[in-house]
Amino acid sequence: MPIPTATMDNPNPVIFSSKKDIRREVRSIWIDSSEEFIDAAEEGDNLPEVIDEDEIYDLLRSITDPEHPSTTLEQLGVVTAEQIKISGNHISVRFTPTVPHCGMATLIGLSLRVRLLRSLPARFRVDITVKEGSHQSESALNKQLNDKERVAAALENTTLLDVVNGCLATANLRGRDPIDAA
Amino acid sequence: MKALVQSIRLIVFGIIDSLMLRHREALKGLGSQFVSERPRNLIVSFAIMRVLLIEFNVLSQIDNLFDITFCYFPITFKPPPGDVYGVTTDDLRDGLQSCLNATPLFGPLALPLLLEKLSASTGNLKRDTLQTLESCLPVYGRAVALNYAPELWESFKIEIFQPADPDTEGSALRATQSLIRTLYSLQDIPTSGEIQADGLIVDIVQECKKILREPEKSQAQHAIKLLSACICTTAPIRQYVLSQGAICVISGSTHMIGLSYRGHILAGLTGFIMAVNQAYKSGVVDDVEQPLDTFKDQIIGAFSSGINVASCRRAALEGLHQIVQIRRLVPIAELGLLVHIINEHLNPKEEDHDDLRPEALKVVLAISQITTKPVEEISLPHLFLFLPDITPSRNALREHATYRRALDSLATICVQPPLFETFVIRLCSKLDMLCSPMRQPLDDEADAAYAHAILLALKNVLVIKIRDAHTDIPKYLDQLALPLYWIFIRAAVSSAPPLASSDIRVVSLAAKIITLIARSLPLERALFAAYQSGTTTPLLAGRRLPGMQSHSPPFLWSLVEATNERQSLAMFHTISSIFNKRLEDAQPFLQTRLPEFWEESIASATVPIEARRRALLGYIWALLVRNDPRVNVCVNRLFSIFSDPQLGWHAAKAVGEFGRGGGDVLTKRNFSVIRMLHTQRFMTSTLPQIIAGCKISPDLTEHTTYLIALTSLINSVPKAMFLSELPTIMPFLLRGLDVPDEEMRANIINTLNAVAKDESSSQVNVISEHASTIVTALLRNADYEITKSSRLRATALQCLGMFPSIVKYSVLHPQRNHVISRLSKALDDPKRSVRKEAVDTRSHWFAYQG
Repeated sequence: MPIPTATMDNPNPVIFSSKKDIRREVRSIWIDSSEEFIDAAEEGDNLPEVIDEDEIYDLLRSITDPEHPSTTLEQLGVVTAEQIKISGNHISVRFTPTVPHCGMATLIGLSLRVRLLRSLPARFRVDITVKEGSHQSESALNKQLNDKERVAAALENTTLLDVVNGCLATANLRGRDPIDAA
Repeated sequence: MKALVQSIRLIVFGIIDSLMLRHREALKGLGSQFVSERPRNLIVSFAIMRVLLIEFNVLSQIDNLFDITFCYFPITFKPPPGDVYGVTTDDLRDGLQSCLNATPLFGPLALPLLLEKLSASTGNLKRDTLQTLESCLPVYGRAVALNYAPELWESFKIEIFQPADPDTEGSALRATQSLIRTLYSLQDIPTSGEIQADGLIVDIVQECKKILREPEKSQAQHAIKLLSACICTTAPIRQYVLSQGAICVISGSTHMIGLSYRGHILAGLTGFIMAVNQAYKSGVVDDVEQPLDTFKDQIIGAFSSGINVASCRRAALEGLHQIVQIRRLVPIAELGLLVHIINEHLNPKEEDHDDLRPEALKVVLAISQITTKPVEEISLPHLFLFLPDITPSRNALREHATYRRALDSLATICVQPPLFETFVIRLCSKLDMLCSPMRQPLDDEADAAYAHAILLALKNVLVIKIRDAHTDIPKYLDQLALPLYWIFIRAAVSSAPPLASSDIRVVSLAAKIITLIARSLPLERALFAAYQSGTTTPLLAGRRLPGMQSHSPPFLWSLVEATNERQSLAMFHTISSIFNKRLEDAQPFLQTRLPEFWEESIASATVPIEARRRALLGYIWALLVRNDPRVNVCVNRLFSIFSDPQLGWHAAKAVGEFGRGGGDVLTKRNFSVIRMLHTQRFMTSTLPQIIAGCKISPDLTEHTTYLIALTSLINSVPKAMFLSELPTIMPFLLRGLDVPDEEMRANIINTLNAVAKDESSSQVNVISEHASTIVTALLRNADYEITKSSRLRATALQCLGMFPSIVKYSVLHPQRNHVISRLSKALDDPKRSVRKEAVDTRSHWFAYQG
């Protein structure tokens, strides 16, 4: 292929088409979609809906890959709903780089970290790790991503921050197609 | 030219332009004497240049003409803020393009330069270059394009296989299409035998085939897009690409030993079929051509066996959805088979089917648009089985979910007239059974919820049918509306009506269905329904329907006897509609009774507050008739009780009701009599009064009352009606954001949202002026400890999220960090919908930079 891809770690990654639609349990025998009654039933009740794994996944799925700006981490299979766990105020997010020598893994991890820093209440402690055996420098990577100081230092670097912001630009789509959303 | 002032130059250009228009022949003799830089002048000069290039013999001057045209490429002009001339970048770009594609003589000169620009530019400029190439190539012609085809393709390829963004990718694909059309414009469709091709398209297809050997990789998706783009060009190319590409993909699906990539292969195939569909839609396929005929059986085979494999079910269903839509391709008998296969994946009991249910239903719906027979014979009986005769108890949520799924599925596919007819008959008989006064329900509430679900399904299909302008709706006046009347009136007059026919949620849904049908009736039939009322809401009045002959008894009934607010409101709506249509009959009541009524029941402080409130509501609805002089008298009466501690706020909110002019009840669609511009007239007379009231009222309560009147009024009219007053109103609105009443705050924030959304409006500046105050108020409204309504919190956050795009960074930068830190509280809101808005808003504020 005479396409200039020599500089990329994984010029042709596998795409996963599985689209996970987030579904929540039926809570009442009444269908609450009729506009008028939603107010009465839901507006004021403030029954807490806790932050669950699906909500976290929704925050992360549409972040894009630094190497493939038009492909999301969901499509690349880098983040999956199964790799997110919550217990109390502790969240663990595991991700799978597309290739074991992926030089972008740090950047992807940093994007996940920044997205969660910005979108979750401060009470949560978040651990971000790569899936066991999915990267050649796994432990160094994990250390780097969970070291507060190093994350803070990385975000002081404006070039790096720009790249991260670029990856996060589409995060609000939450799995929707950019064309449908527009 | 430079010697003249630019405005004079514009005139000069105008003169040349009109000379060009009227005296073209004379100018042709002038030769080469002809050629500013101001954008508005440029637009004119581009137009002149185009005529020059097309009409004149320019061969001898072509180099000069090219230089003076191409020097403007690419257009980098950005209109300054508040530009009075209104010249946009696009105007200039289009103007320049119309010159560059005016003559084939530019071809050899322009292509090398455009190629150079293409490799050197990014973003907008790159897209501009690609678009220019797209429009120029067909004009420059095959010979020139052939010379540069390899280089052009190399440049396009990078944008297609390594796209920076979807827009650029699309531009590159369109440019490639244009190149292919130009290169192969002269080829005829081969009548028989092997399809021969040479040149660029062979290279493209070969390259794509190589990539498609790994269908699961990201490059394969780009290859499919590229081949799809080629399919949308010309018939011979389409045949060639399909025979090569489709065979490659299908053979992949049969030769592949493992099943893991089958989903991707089917997705690829779907891509091709989508492209063919697209080609049909855009009209490039003529009636004779059947591009997919040869591969039809293989493709359908691949899809229908794919349905049985979980990993490629989605792709297979999407593929089927596309292929059944292709005109005259799949025979009717085979459609029946497909319905059979899909049926197995539509079991309402299976929660696992939920993910793909919408896809499966889409295929059935598409088939029903071609033939309803297999759907009626296969899908419908299957789904009706899951509508139980005995309602599950209220704790059996799973069983409730099952019939809901069946109803949902039925509502999705029963849109075509014959299917809808069956659907209505079956559901009506179910409803009749549930609502029968003889029924001894096991669980009253579960019955009601079931009835509600059935009505909702009926309503959902009706809404879709109305959207698609189906002509069979009027006949459901007899087949659906009247049976519904019968069911609910029978219940209303019985001594102990079952909950399924008296629950407010069920009854109002039934009323809505009747309204929808009544609205679609032709006028003469509508007269019958219309007389009853605008929205037929008398159903809501439930227990008793008083005679309609004299107008005051129902009026009094709704005040005194109605057991709840909805009942009396329904009656008021009815009365209002009747008055609207038969004003002359209502005159005595309006002229004599109503003023007395005001004094006796509303103005008098001795009447209990609840009764006064209801009376006020009735009074308003009775007067909401039309643009009547009495409305102003009435509003003045309302003003007079603003200071009333009990009724003041209600009176203030009622002002908004007048602004709304009867909302969904008195509308054209309900055949009401609507006077033109009556809302405008009402606004011009009332708004100044309210603003004056806000300004002068000394007492705090009364001031707040005026604020409420103001907000409810402007929230009830289109924003264009008050936009010019916004600078005056804004300070009052801001004050209103601190009032305890949440409904009012929601109204204000809705208004702000409406103003902020329209970025082009000059009134956005008013928001800018008060930005910092508004931001603080919105943060307070978004706080779950202060604001009870989750919807208000979500709207406040939404509004806050718009600030970064409408207010200059310099205005709000001191507050940026404060907003971000305050928003962290909203991230922990108890409601998921609010948290979602908080996350989005916060990320907009993070991205807010100078």
